[in-house]
Amino acid sequence: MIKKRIIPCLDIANGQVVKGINFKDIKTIADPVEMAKYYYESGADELVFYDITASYENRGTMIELVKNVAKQVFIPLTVGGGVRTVEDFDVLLKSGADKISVNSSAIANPELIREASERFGAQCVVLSMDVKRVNDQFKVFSKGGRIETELDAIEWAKRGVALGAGELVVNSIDTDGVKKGFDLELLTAISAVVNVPIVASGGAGKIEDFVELFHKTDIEAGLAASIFHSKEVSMTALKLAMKRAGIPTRLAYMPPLKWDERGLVPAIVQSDITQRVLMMAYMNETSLRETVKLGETVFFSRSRQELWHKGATSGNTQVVTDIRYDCDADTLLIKVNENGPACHTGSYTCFGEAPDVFEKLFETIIDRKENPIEGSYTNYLFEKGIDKILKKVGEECAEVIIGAKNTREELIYEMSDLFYHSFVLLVNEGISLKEIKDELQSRIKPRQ
Amino acid sequence: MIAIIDYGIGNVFNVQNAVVPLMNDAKLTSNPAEILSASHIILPGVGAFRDAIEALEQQGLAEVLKQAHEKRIPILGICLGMQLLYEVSYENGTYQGLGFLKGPVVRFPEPQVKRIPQIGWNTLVENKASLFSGVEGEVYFVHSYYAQGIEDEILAYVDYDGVKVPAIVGSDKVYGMQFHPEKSAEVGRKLLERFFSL
Repeated sequence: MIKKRIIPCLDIANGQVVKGINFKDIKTIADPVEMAKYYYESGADELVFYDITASYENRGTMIELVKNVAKQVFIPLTVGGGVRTVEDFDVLLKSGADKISVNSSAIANPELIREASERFGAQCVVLSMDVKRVNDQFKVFSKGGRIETELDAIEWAKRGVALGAGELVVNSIDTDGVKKGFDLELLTAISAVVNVPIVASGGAGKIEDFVELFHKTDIEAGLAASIFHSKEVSMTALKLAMKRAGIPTRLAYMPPLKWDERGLVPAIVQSDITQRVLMMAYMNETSLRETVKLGETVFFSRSRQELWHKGATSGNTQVVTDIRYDCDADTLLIKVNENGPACHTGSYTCFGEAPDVFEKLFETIIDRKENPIEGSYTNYLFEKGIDKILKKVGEECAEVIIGAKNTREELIYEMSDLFYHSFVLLVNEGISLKEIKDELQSRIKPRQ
Repeated sequence: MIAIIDYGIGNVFNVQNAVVPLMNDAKLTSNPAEILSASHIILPGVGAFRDAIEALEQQGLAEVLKQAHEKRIPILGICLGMQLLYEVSYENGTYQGLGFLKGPVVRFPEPQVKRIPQIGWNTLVENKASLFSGVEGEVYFVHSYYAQGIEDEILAYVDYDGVKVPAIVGSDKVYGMQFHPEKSAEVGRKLLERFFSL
């Protein structure tokens, strides 16, 4: 089955990866070759390089960059920005680009799509479009989304495909930078009228936005820049989450680790629920590959000299949510949702720590959601849904007020009810305890 | 020497990028003597079938490839290069191919296939044991036409909207990959290594 693709986009100016808002305050953030290699090793499915200056002066730099990347990165590369003629296509394709994306130049000269498609094949002609709602109509904008055109986005998509575009990149100006999710309405409308693959762009702020995109539409790929560059979302965490959500995903993680003389690296396991360090074990290349493939921790046991799928017999498996490596590339950090204690002694962590009751309660609620139990009050709330949960939170607030006016014992009782129902609400909305802890932490001001 | 056939069609640069780290003596060439003395031949190709087969014919390379085939030099066709190994293609007309493998090249059936081209990573499924057996995972495809090869020559396939698409094909030292091994990360590298082990 074909996999849904995840595509980091690298905006390029003067040979560097840059970040800028509306072409202002452009900041250099990375070397493009290094960044491309990092994404390649992290399991990105494709890369897009976009020359934001779209200038002739920058063309030579861009060609050199593509050549250098193509020598080290063996996944498809799309190049865009300032491509105006079939000769531009030719030189970029010969430099190692696999696909060329056109935007404003195709608006100015639609024949460019046809000419390029006839000469190089539809598979390398990508029509990219910036779309914004104007008076309830999807309108195409040119020049990096700055200038409104006469074109209706739905009609332009159809025409682009008829002219020979083999793929569309649909960027919603309305959702771009808002980080509240992709523009599903626009994407669904365009998807219904064309038969080429579509790449969604604009609006991704978190992992769930990609999951929603692939669950609610038949779009083939999701593109984003800043959330990947900032490492807010790691490619591995995203791919693992997609896999858990049943989305066809390619999982390939091949970090440039410095294995020791035994072929091992230490792997620190941290709970993604409580943020506690749970244990430390070793991985070799095979166990790391198995971990990624299985989505659960598989270590290399030094005493038994064999692969060790943790929890295979005890049931205390660890579902992997993210894998990172340290600055020296000789230690792994594995984040997990743990199904039971990490330690063979039965202790929550191998360092003898127990989760506090808030963490334990939160974890139990997550477990109920994922593995429902008949007759469970928590499952009853999840089944009834958000309105029921909010009604309960509201009621408990009132009861806290009443309780506080009555007795100390009643306040403790009602406040506990409120905590519990608030946790159910957070779990229902996919908010982690860490996000609340981080928010609270940010409010604690050091004493002046 | 590995001869990567240079006939002005498609992206030979990326094939060279992927092959050179594996085999130092890989060379882009259209020289018949070099091709016929090569240890392995790679036939790349991107674009339209007609343009590609015409280019091979006009440059006399179709004949050279037939001689190489008779000499039993291992040949690997990639993407359009694989399709050229077949008898006939129905891409915008009817065009004869090199005929090393049996069957026609046809367009994906619509509306069964919802998106054409197939662009993206698809999982290899083994059809028949071969020198590529044991290499598992996803490889990168970009194509609108596929080879309706005979069962005996299909070594691995992928499923695209219910169409069983031949992915690795071959028989008697002639192999083809519909995907781009040079763009398929580790899995692609391993498959190329297997071909060079011939």
